[in-house]
Amino acid sequence: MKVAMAEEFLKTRPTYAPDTDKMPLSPHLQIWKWTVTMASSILHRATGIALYAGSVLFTLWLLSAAVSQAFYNQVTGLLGSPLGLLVLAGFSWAMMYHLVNGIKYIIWDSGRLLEKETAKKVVWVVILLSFVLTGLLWAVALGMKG
Amino acid sequence: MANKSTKHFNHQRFTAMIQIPLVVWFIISVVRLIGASWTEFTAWAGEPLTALLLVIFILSIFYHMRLGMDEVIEDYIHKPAARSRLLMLNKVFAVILGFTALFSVIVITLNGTH
Repeated sequence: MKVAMAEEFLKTRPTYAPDTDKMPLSPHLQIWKWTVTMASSILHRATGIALYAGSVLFTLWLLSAAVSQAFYNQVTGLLGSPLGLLVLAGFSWAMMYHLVNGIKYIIWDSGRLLEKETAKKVVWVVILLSFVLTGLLWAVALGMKG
Repeated sequence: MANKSTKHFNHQRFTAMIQIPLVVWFIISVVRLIGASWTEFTAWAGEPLTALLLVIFILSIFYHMRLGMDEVIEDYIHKPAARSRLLMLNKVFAVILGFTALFSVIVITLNGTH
Protein backbone atom coordinates (compact mmCIF):
# COMPACT_ATOMS: atom_id res chain seq x y z
CA MET A 1 0.00 0.00 0.00
CA LYS A 2 2.66 2.44 1.08
CA VAL A 3 4.88 1.40 -1.83
CA ALA A 4 2.09 1.91 -4.32
CA MET A 5 1.44 5.39 -2.95
CA ALA A 6 5.09 6.23 -3.20
CA GLU A 7 5.21 5.07 -6.81
CA GLU A 8 2.14 7.13 -7.63
CA PHE A 9 3.78 10.16 -6.07
CA LEU A 10 6.96 9.64 -8.08
CA LYS A 11 4.94 9.41 -11.31
CA THR A 12 3.15 12.69 -10.76
CA ARG A 13 6.10 14.55 -9.38
CA PRO A 14 7.35 17.33 -11.66
CA THR A 15 10.98 17.12 -12.63
CA TYR A 16 12.90 20.24 -11.83
CA ALA A 17 16.13 19.26 -13.52
CA PRO A 18 16.32 20.67 -17.06
CA ASP A 19 16.41 18.07 -19.82
CA THR A 20 19.72 19.12 -21.31
CA ASP A 21 19.29 16.88 -24.34
CA LYS A 22 16.33 18.95 -25.54
CA MET A 23 17.70 22.36 -24.69
CA PRO A 24 18.88 24.72 -27.41
CA LEU A 25 22.63 24.96 -27.58
CA SER A 26 24.39 28.27 -27.14
CA PRO A 27 25.85 29.71 -30.33
CA HIS A 28 29.07 28.04 -31.34
CA LEU A 29 31.86 28.56 -33.86
CA GLN A 30 29.66 28.72 -36.92
CA ILE A 31 27.70 31.61 -35.41
CA TRP A 32 30.31 34.01 -34.10
CA LYS A 33 32.19 36.39 -36.32
CA TRP A 34 35.81 35.25 -36.40
CA THR A 35 38.25 37.31 -34.43
CA VAL A 36 42.00 36.97 -34.21
CA THR A 37 41.90 36.43 -30.45
CA MET A 38 39.36 33.64 -30.90
CA ALA A 39 41.54 32.01 -33.56
CA SER A 40 44.54 32.15 -31.23
CA SER A 41 42.53 30.44 -28.52
CA ILE A 42 41.38 27.68 -30.88
CA LEU A 43 44.97 27.26 -32.09
CA HIS A 44 46.13 26.95 -28.50
CA ARG A 45 43.79 24.03 -27.98
CA ALA A 46 44.69 22.46 -31.34
CA THR A 47 48.43 22.66 -30.67
CA GLY A 48 47.83 21.27 -27.19
CA ILE A 49 46.09 18.25 -28.72
CA ALA A 50 48.92 17.86 -31.25
CA LEU A 51 51.49 17.91 -28.43
CA TYR A 52 49.40 15.34 -26.55
CA ALA A 53 49.78 13.02 -29.54
CA GLY A 54 53.45 13.95 -29.92
CA SER A 55 54.18 12.94 -26.33
CA VAL A 56 54.14 9.34 -27.59
CA LEU A 57 57.26 10.13 -29.63
CA PHE A 58 58.93 11.79 -26.65
CA THR A 59 58.34 8.72 -24.48
CA LEU A 60 59.39 6.36 -27.27
CA TRP A 61 62.66 8.29 -27.67
CA LEU A 62 63.54 7.99 -23.96
CA LEU A 63 62.34 4.39 -23.77
CA SER A 64 64.47 3.35 -26.76
CA ALA A 65 67.59 4.75 -25.11
CA ALA A 66 66.76 2.83 -21.93
CA VAL A 67 66.15 -0.45 -23.77
CA SER A 68 69.10 -0.93 -26.13
CA GLN A 69 71.49 0.67 -28.59
CA ALA A 70 69.80 -1.07 -31.51
CA PHE A 71 66.36 0.19 -30.51
CA TYR A 72 67.70 3.71 -29.98
CA ASN A 73 69.30 3.68 -33.45
CA GLN A 74 66.00 2.47 -34.94
CA VAL A 75 63.94 5.21 -33.29
CA THR A 76 66.37 8.05 -34.02
CA GLY A 77 66.70 6.74 -37.58
CA LEU A 78 62.92 6.89 -37.93
CA LEU A 79 62.83 10.42 -36.51
CA GLY A 80 65.62 11.49 -38.87
CA SER A 81 63.87 10.12 -41.98
CA PRO A 82 62.10 12.61 -44.31
CA LEU A 83 58.70 11.70 -42.85
CA GLY A 84 60.09 11.84 -39.31
CA LEU A 85 61.55 15.30 -39.92
CA LEU A 86 58.22 16.49 -41.30
CA VAL A 87 56.44 15.26 -38.16
CA LEU A 88 59.12 16.89 -35.99
CA ALA A 89 58.74 20.17 -37.91
CA GLY A 90 55.04 20.23 -37.08
CA PHE A 91 55.72 19.09 -33.53
CA SER A 92 58.30 21.82 -32.98
CA TRP A 93 56.02 24.57 -34.32
CA ALA A 94 53.15 23.33 -32.14
CA MET A 95 55.48 23.41 -29.14
CA MET A 96 56.72 26.94 -29.93
CA TYR A 97 53.21 28.27 -30.49
CA HIS A 98 51.84 26.64 -27.35
CA LEU A 99 54.79 27.98 -25.35
CA VAL A 100 54.64 31.59 -26.59
CA ASN A 101 50.84 31.72 -26.57
CA GLY A 102 50.84 30.15 -23.10
CA ILE A 103 53.08 32.97 -21.89
CA LYS A 104 50.59 35.39 -23.47
CA TYR A 105 47.79 33.83 -21.40
CA ILE A 106 49.80 34.20 -18.20
CA ILE A 107 50.31 37.89 -19.04
CA TRP A 108 46.60 38.31 -19.87
CA ASP A 109 45.63 36.52 -16.66
CA SER A 110 47.55 39.14 -14.73
CA GLY A 111 45.34 41.78 -16.37
CA ARG A 112 47.99 43.25 -18.63
CA LEU A 113 47.82 43.96 -22.39
CA LEU A 114 44.11 43.25 -22.48
CA GLU A 115 42.87 46.41 -24.25
CA LYS A 116 41.15 45.34 -27.47
CA GLU A 117 43.64 46.73 -29.98
CA THR A 118 46.66 45.80 -27.84
CA ALA A 119 45.34 42.27 -27.37
CA LYS A 120 45.02 41.85 -31.14
CA LYS A 121 48.57 43.06 -31.67
CA VAL A 122 49.85 40.66 -29.02
CA VAL A 123 48.22 37.76 -30.85
CA TRP A 124 49.97 38.68 -34.10
CA VAL A 125 53.27 38.97 -32.25
CA VAL A 126 52.72 35.48 -30.81
CA ILE A 127 51.98 33.98 -34.24
CA LEU A 128 54.98 35.69 -35.81
CA LEU A 129 57.27 34.70 -32.94
CA SER A 130 56.20 31.06 -33.12
CA PHE A 131 57.28 30.87 -36.76
CA VAL A 132 60.46 32.89 -36.24
CA LEU A 133 61.55 30.69 -33.32
CA THR A 134 60.71 27.49 -35.20
CA GLY A 135 62.66 28.73 -38.23
CA LEU A 136 65.61 29.63 -36.01
CA LEU A 137 65.48 26.22 -34.35
CA TRP A 138 65.58 24.40 -37.68
CA ALA A 139 68.27 26.67 -39.10
CA VAL A 140 70.51 25.73 -36.18
CA ALA A 141 69.44 22.07 -36.32
CA LEU A 142 70.07 21.64 -40.04
CA GLY A 143 73.30 23.61 -39.72
CA MET A 144 74.50 21.12 -37.13
CA LYS A 145 73.47 18.16 -39.26
CA GLY A 146 75.73 19.56 -42.01
CA MET B 1 38.75 25.99 0.20
CA ALA B 2 39.14 25.83 -3.54
CA ASN B 3 36.67 23.75 -5.50
CA LYS B 4 37.65 21.15 -8.11
CA SER B 5 37.60 23.52 -11.07
CA THR B 6 39.64 26.16 -9.29
CA LYS B 7 42.20 23.55 -8.30
CA HIS B 8 42.23 22.33 -11.88
CA PHE B 9 42.88 25.85 -13.17
CA ASN B 10 45.60 26.53 -10.60
CA HIS B 11 47.41 23.28 -11.31
CA GLN B 12 47.27 23.88 -15.03
CA ARG B 13 48.72 27.37 -14.62
CA PHE B 14 51.33 26.21 -12.14
CA THR B 15 52.61 23.42 -14.40
CA ALA B 16 52.56 25.89 -17.32
CA MET B 17 54.83 28.28 -15.44
CA ILE B 18 57.25 25.55 -14.41
CA GLN B 19 57.40 24.41 -18.01
CA ILE B 20 58.45 27.75 -19.49
CA PRO B 21 62.13 27.44 -18.49
CA LEU B 22 62.03 23.64 -18.79
CA VAL B 23 60.75 23.62 -22.38
CA VAL B 24 63.37 26.18 -23.40
CA TRP B 25 66.05 23.99 -21.78
CA PHE B 26 64.60 20.89 -23.42
CA ILE B 27 64.50 22.37 -26.95
CA ILE B 28 68.09 23.61 -26.70
CA SER B 29 69.16 20.19 -25.40
CA VAL B 30 67.43 18.32 -28.22
CA VAL B 31 69.03 20.53 -30.86
CA ARG B 32 72.43 19.92 -29.29
CA LEU B 33 71.73 16.18 -29.30
CA ILE B 34 71.11 15.98 -33.04
CA GLY B 35 73.15 13.12 -34.45
CA ALA B 36 74.14 11.93 -30.96
CA SER B 37 75.08 8.27 -30.70
CA TRP B 38 73.43 6.06 -28.09
CA THR B 39 76.53 6.40 -25.91
CA GLU B 40 76.47 10.20 -26.14
CA PHE B 41 72.74 10.36 -25.51
CA THR B 42 72.73 8.09 -22.48
CA ALA B 43 75.75 9.94 -21.08
CA TRP B 44 73.76 13.19 -21.35
CA ALA B 45 70.50 11.81 -19.93
CA GLY B 46 72.37 9.92 -17.21
CA GLU B 47 73.94 13.03 -15.69
CA PRO B 48 72.33 13.69 -12.30
CA LEU B 49 71.28 17.26 -13.11
CA THR B 50 69.94 16.35 -16.55
CA ALA B 51 68.06 13.37 -15.14
CA LEU B 52 66.56 15.51 -12.39
CA LEU B 53 65.41 18.17 -14.86
CA LEU B 54 64.00 15.45 -17.13
CA VAL B 55 62.06 13.95 -14.21
CA ILE B 56 60.55 17.32 -13.26
CA PHE B 57 59.83 18.05 -16.92
CA ILE B 58 58.12 14.67 -17.42
CA LEU B 59 55.97 14.94 -14.29
CA SER B 60 54.94 18.48 -15.20
CA ILE B 61 54.11 17.94 -18.90
CA PHE B 62 52.16 14.74 -18.44
CA TYR B 63 50.09 16.23 -15.65
CA HIS B 64 49.52 19.44 -17.63
CA MET B 65 48.60 17.38 -20.69
CA ARG B 66 46.06 15.35 -18.78
CA LEU B 67 44.43 18.46 -17.28
CA GLY B 68 44.23 20.09 -20.70
CA MET B 69 42.66 17.06 -22.33
CA ASP B 70 40.20 16.79 -19.42
CA GLU B 71 38.98 20.26 -20.35
CA VAL B 72 38.61 19.34 -24.00
CA ILE B 73 36.63 16.20 -23.11
CA GLU B 74 34.37 18.15 -20.73
CA ASP B 75 33.72 20.76 -23.42
CA TYR B 76 32.76 18.42 -26.23
CA ILE B 77 31.49 15.16 -24.74
CA HIS B 78 28.09 15.66 -23.12
CA LYS B 79 26.90 12.10 -22.57
CA PRO B 80 27.81 11.28 -18.95
CA ALA B 81 28.85 7.67 -19.62
CA ALA B 82 31.08 8.48 -22.59
CA ARG B 83 32.48 11.46 -20.74
CA SER B 84 33.56 9.57 -17.65
CA ARG B 85 34.96 6.75 -19.78
CA LEU B 86 37.07 9.18 -21.79
CA LEU B 87 38.23 11.02 -18.67
CA MET B 88 39.36 7.67 -17.26
CA LEU B 89 41.11 6.74 -20.52
CA ASN B 90 42.84 10.11 -20.55
CA LYS B 91 44.15 9.53 -17.04
CA VAL B 92 45.35 6.02 -17.88
CA PHE B 93 47.05 7.24 -21.06
CA ALA B 94 48.88 10.09 -19.34
CA VAL B 95 49.91 7.97 -16.35
CA ILE B 96 51.20 5.04 -18.43
CA LEU B 97 53.07 7.26 -20.89
CA GLY B 98 54.43 9.53 -18.18
CA PHE B 99 55.64 6.69 -16.00
CA THR B 100 57.19 4.92 -18.99
CA ALA B 101 59.20 8.07 -19.71
CA LEU B 102 60.09 8.43 -16.04
CA PHE B 103 61.11 4.77 -15.76
CA SER B 104 63.28 5.16 -18.88
CA VAL B 105 65.21 8.05 -17.34
CA ILE B 106 65.75 6.03 -14.16
CA VAL B 107 66.99 3.02 -16.17
CA ILE B 108 69.41 5.22 -18.13
CA THR B 109 70.84 6.68 -14.93
CA LEU B 110 71.20 3.22 -13.37
CA ASN B 111 72.91 1.81 -16.45
CA GLY B 112 75.79 4.23 -15.95
CA THR B 113 78.20 5.12 -18.72
CA HIS B 114 78.74 2.72 -21.58
